[in-house]
Amino acid sequence: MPQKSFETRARELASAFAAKDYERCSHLLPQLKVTLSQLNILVPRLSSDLELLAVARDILEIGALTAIFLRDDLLFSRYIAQLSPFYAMKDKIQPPSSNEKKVIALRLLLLLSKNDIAEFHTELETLEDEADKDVYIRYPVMLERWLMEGSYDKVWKATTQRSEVPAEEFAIFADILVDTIRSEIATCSEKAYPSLPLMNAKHLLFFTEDADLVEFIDQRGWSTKDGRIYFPQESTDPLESGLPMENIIENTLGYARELETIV
Amino acid sequence: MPAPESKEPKMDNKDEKMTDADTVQKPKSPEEITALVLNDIKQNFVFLDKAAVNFEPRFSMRVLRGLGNLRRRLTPDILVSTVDAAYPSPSHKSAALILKYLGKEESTMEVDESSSDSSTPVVLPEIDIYVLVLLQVYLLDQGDLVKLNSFNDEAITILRGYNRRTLDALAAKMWFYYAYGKELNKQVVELRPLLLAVLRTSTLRHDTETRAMLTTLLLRNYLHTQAISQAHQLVLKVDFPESAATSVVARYLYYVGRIKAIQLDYSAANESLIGAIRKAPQTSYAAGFLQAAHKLKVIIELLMGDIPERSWFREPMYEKALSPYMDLVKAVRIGEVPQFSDTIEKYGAVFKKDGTYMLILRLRQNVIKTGIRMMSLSYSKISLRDICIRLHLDSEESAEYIVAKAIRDGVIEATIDHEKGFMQSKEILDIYSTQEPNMAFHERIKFCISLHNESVKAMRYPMNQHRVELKNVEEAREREKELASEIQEGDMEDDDGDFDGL
Repeated sequence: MPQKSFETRARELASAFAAKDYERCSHLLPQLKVTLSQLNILVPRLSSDLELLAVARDILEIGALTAIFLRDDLLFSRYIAQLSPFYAMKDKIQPPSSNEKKVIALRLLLLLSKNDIAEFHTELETLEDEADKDVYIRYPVMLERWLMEGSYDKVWKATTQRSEVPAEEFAIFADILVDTIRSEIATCSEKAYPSLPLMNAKHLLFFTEDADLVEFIDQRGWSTKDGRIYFPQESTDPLESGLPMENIIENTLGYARELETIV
Repeated sequence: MPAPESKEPKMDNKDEKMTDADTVQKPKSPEEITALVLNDIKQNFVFLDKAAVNFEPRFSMRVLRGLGNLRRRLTPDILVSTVDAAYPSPSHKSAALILKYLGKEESTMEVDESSSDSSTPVVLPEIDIYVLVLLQVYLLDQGDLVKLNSFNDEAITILRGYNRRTLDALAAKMWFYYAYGKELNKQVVELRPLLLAVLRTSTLRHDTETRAMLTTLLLRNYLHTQAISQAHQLVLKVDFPESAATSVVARYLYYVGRIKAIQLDYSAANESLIGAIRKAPQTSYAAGFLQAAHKLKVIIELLMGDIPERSWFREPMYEKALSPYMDLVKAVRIGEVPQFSDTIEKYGAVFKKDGTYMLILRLRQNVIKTGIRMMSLSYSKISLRDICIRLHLDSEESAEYIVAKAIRDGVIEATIDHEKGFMQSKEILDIYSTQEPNMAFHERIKFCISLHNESVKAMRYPMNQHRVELKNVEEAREREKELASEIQEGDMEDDDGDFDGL
């Protein structure tokens, strides 16, 4: 009996997700997870029933995608953690998941938006070749490359123009990414330009409204004068900062101590 | 030709060490060769005996060092004779096992079985394990993986029956071949729980060699399946015993360097790799390891922004293996992205086999940065349009953003003038007026001090020698006292003489 209602509920979940009724999905999911753990397939082991594992994996994937639409990062990370043993066993579970690449790509995008580059690369290592072949995974990989290089205009185009984005879930990250780019550009501009006219600044920072620009300037603490922005200059003259006496003294005392220590 | 030259001095060393084994120079009849090899093995038995009795690990190490040489000369006949020499009767468990795997059961079954009733001399466990390792090596060299794996399983059960500290070095070797056999058989993931359990046991028993070897084997296992975060966790949680054999420490440092490189911690990775290269034996036996380590080091130096020295690539041991990397370095140095992409495509398969492909992809931004740096150094003022053309970038806007980011990262010292659309380089600062020389000196001094400390710690004094010295010192003091008293007496006589003179 529990088996039957499990299948019907699984189908209900799938249809709710297809209808984009995410509230209902998030309502159905916890009950389904309980059933999964009762059937012993929440954590895949070699002893579990392989067919049911495929169903379990699909359910968890729907859960992950729902979390994205509901913009709940923690929930998404939790689903990913539960999905990773499934993906590790992917040779054994048939049929292969159609959503797998999308979910992995979304995870990469999440790491990128949080600026967790070390984790990003670690995850990428496990993927090896697929970065070039799969359209979903290519998206965050290219974004990361452009961000590192500094071609922010490409990043801008990729996130905001709908034609570039491979699936709607990715579009949700657009806002976070745009904020990240803006702060990056702002930091670069501070160092690179002595001063900048307001019109150009608006263009560089991808603002459409003047009001947004003014707000941003206030946030960063820049000063404006005659329609130009002046960035705070740091004094880079090394002689001004005086001799680094403490440092030298500390080092030399260290050497003396090491030499005299009886090892 | 550089290659043969480097080999010949080593051949001379071998001849000096084994004056009776002239097998290298003069071909001898098979029986004589067999006899000579058997002699070597019996000598090793004597060493192992000494090691067990005196608790000196150095004898076991010496035996193991000879293993590499010995393995090339093993034949089934030699192994059978070894079994006869080592075990009192072929019905001994290990003896029966080895003979089974050599396929020689029937021929030696004739030996009397009455000896099993009488008090059989106990076989030293060290010798037991040593012979088992010899067979492992032999099966591995034969390429017979199925036999190797089933033999390994049974051999490991025998090993785990013992709990002696003198067995440590040999046990570590056995575990190495066990894990290697499983890896070749693609049974990598199933190995993990066993390795972890044995690591726990060896840590409880304070078995440093086995612990070190098992940690290294686990890291290799994780890296093989790209489970890098797990490998990282292992490195963080497990204390690696630094006093293990240097070859194991070198391997460990290499794996740690690899993990750190993937996680973008390039300076720490570089330090680990330098340690690995230094600790590895510098002979041609370690060529494979040194090549792999050098490849990784080249990539990491490129990722840190330094260009590795050209002199390395010319050494005979590395020339062929590192030639794709040399092209890569050239491409990065020039700073042109199309050439870089071409090099990657050309040598893509080689890089993927070496496992460095993903790291190399990261080099793309380094190429661009190098290009920009060269522009900034050579031109005092250059328009953004020209930068865009020369670096083959897509648009002027990208060029502007890229230059701004480069300035922010500290790659170049310059300013951009947005309206007129050019980049202007700042004047180059005199480096001696900054902190740079001080910091460079500090690093070097720190390194020398640690080297000095390590050398002092590594000095060995033979035990009880100092008592002999003390005795000598006492005798010397007595002699001194006699001398001193004689001189005193002599002085007084002289003084009397002087008085007389006056």
